[in-house]
Amino acid sequence: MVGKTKRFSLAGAGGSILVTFFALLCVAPLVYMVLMSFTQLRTLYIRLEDITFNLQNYYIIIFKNSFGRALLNSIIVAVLSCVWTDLVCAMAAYGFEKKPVPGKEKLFKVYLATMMIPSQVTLIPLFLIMRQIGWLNSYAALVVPMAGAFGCFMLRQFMKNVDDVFIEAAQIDGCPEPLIFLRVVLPLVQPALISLTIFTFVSAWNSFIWPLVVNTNTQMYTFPIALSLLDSQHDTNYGLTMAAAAASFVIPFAMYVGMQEQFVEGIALGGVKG
Amino acid sequence: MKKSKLTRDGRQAIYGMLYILPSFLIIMVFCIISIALAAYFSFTNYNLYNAPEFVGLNNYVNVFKSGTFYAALTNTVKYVIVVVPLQTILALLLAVFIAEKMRNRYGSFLRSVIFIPFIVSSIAASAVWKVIFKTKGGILNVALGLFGIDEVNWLGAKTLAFVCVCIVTIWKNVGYYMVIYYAGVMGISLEQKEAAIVDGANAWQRFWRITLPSLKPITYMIITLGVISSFQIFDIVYQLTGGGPGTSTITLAYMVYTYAFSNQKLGYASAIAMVLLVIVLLIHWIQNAFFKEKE
Amino acid sequence: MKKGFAILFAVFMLVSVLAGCAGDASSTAPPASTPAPGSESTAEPAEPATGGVVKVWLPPYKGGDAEYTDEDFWNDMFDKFEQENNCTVEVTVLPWSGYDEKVATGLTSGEGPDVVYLGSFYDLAVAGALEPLDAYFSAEEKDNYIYWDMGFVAGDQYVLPMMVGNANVLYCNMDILAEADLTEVPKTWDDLISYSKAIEASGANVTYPFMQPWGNPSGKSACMTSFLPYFWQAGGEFLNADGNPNLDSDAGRTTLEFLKSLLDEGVFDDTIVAATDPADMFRNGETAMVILSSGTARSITEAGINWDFATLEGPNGDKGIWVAGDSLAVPANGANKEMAVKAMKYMTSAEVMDAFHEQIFSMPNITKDATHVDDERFADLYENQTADFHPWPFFENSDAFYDTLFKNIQSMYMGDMTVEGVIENTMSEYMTSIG
Repeated sequence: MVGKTKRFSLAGAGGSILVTFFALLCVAPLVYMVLMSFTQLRTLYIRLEDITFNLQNYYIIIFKNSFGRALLNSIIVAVLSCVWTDLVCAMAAYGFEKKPVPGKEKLFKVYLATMMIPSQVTLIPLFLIMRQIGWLNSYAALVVPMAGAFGCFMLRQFMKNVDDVFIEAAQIDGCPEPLIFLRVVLPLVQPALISLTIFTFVSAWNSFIWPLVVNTNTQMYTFPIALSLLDSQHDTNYGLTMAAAAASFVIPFAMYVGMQEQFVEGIALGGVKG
Repeated sequence: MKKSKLTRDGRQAIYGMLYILPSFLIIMVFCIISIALAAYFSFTNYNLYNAPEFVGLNNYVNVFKSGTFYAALTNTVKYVIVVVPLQTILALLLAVFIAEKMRNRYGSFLRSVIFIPFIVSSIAASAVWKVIFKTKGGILNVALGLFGIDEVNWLGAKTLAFVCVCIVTIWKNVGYYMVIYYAGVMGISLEQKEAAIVDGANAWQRFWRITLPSLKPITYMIITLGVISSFQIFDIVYQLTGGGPGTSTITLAYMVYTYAFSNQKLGYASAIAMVLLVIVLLIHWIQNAFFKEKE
Repeated sequence: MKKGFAILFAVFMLVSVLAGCAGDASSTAPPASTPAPGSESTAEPAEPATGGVVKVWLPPYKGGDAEYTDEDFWNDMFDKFEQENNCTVEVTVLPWSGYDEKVATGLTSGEGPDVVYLGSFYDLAVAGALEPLDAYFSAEEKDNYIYWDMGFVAGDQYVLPMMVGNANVLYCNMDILAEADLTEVPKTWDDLISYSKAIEASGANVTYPFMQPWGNPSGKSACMTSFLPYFWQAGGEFLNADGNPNLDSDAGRTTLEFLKSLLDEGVFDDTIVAATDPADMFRNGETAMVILSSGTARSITEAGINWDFATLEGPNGDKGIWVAGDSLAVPANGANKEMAVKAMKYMTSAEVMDAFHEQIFSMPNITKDATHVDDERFADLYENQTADFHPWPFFENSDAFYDTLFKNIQSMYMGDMTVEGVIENTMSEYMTSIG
């Protein structure tokens, strides 16, 4: 199991076992969640024979009338958020890190400060702003604010590692500025971009309160909101709760598995050039 | 703008501004104005429905008179002190070990697996963990029972409930930070490492002399993000413990929430948030000084 | 001090124009203070219905695994109303989680509902966010509503009680009681403790003989079922003359001493501060006695539990039963208030509520002309014991108060706080929070 160029070592093997054990701990709750989702339990005392592998809970989720629309909304919002955030934040990070903009460090401190206020308190002001500019019930209200300071900060940290030599070489070649950004800078920070994409996708997908508040029209409901309507205050169907949790997890999981290949490639690319 | 006399630096500066502009507008409109409004509300008795009336420092005075505030502040600080170092060190060790010793399919498989909890929404994660941690009938206590261990009152004892919140946070975040670290480790140039190997440095020395210093910008980022997000811990507390038992897991963001939405005291809630902002800024400033010193 | 606000908004308007966004230049006033009148209905001429659009917001009462959901129900019910009034009703069923945030922003913005379901409404009423309803109802109509008076809060009739009268009683699993040779339901506080001991002694396979949800993440709902009823049974009046909670009183002490004795006498141990889901535990036979609403009876019967219920009395024979008062309200900034009240009357009519109680959730009737029959075991309760019914006490910042009280009682159960400590700390936090 150890890489073929490396010699076998006891520490390495012990470490591998530890890492494997840790990975098991990480997925155990999720395995439990999936197993529970195949039950109709209203009690916690789960027995093996309760796990019937019938799909009734999933059937309920899929055939709820708002399911298709909510899924589509969530996918649109998550994909647009990723593209938008990557673009806006990469541009800003490049500007901040590689360009001699006067006062940029001060501005960047302001950026950081914007991350330090809990969202519970900016929810209402943000809502007022959206209302003022007429963005309620729009994808824009869900997508545009996603490109916040977090992405800029993260990409900038990675851009510190990008050697100016590549950029200067392109400039000397007379490469136009937008092309330098697209062809030289973006590929160099690809692993970071992919990390940011995953982060953005996951937060856009899992976001609950903001989409609930900003949409007054049920046609704009996202997937987690549609799922939360399954809860009743008067009855806990643990099976259904877990199935809903599992359903909300499937799409980001699929997208992560899909990105995995690019992720590895991106790192390889970065490794060669960096 | 298109004056031909611009120096090279001037032109670059303009390009830079253009690059920053879209992001700048978003931050201005959606973040700065929101925060400015919140700051303004903190000096008023704003309750969402009536025009805000100025009340001076009243909200701040009341915040500092509240015992719950100090409990929430202590918990929040404790939480940051426990979670941030643990998740950072764990992420670093995992990333470096997998990158150096397990650079194969199995290693990348494990890396993917450890990342998975990050994808789960806080709501779903807390729902699952809440069921796992149940004192009566929870799977964890049932499993411990098989080893003859007595039922543990996970979410019903002060320290344990706090530990549970920390466990769930670390479980959820460590994979993400590990992946960021991993990308960083892969970015360290091979020449540097090979030079160190030629020098006869062992794995441990290489870690201290090459890997760690090269990862400094990333460590800085991970600690900064960790501190900021830990200070705002809300979802997991809200879902898992509701701030209890007693005040053992109540946090500042949880207090902000209670006052803003259950009681519509947005003025008071904003004042708590502003105090939180000042504390985080202060800590960030200390952290920066610390990182500079190490340079 | 509106100037600062105006400046902020001026800055914001400037930026929004710069960003190329179409802001409504005519409404520079802060939206919080002046709801844009009629902006909603003019902006969206959905259908040329003369009665306009009525937006109704409600939470779901049926679980999502139901064949026929709340949304289906209300949409079907409103068909007739829409035809009769030539209007459009948009029903929005909102999840329980996030309901407060949604209502807060909805009512602030003027983008919100015309009719809204509210669990707690005191702070909204005080803030002037709700339309007084008195003038919209005739004397006969008021008389027909059994719980009309419960909607009188903060000096006016701000809400119309709807999901109401759902009394919280002590359910007993008679099979488990029988194993302990107990054939009758407990009547007093002392009974509760001696019954619990007898059930423990009988070796019954229960988690707790009597359970209280002190691990409920919502302090408010835990206090509803597990603090207030005992306070009333101790002979207390929860609000004093100033309208503040009367916790620092004999009744408050007696109640807290009793709650503490449940732990000291071994009815439950300190794991109770993590205990949740009383209804599930009772339906599963994991507890023998629990306080739940009468509406839960149907699901308990369906779960095959042989149950009976009791209403407890305190040391001096006082009774006290908590009844929820979830209500409908019309936001003061609504665009179509006349039609909203009409829709509200329709929703609470005997015809609609009978259907609701049959098909969605069983509760006592709210009007005199309604015919739904709840579980007949409750007939006596609703006919002869309503004098013991107490609605939810309303006062400023009540949610924060209950949250603090709840957390302090948890501390008491963990041995960190005395009864006096609970009273002192809760009251001083409360006084601070109302400023």
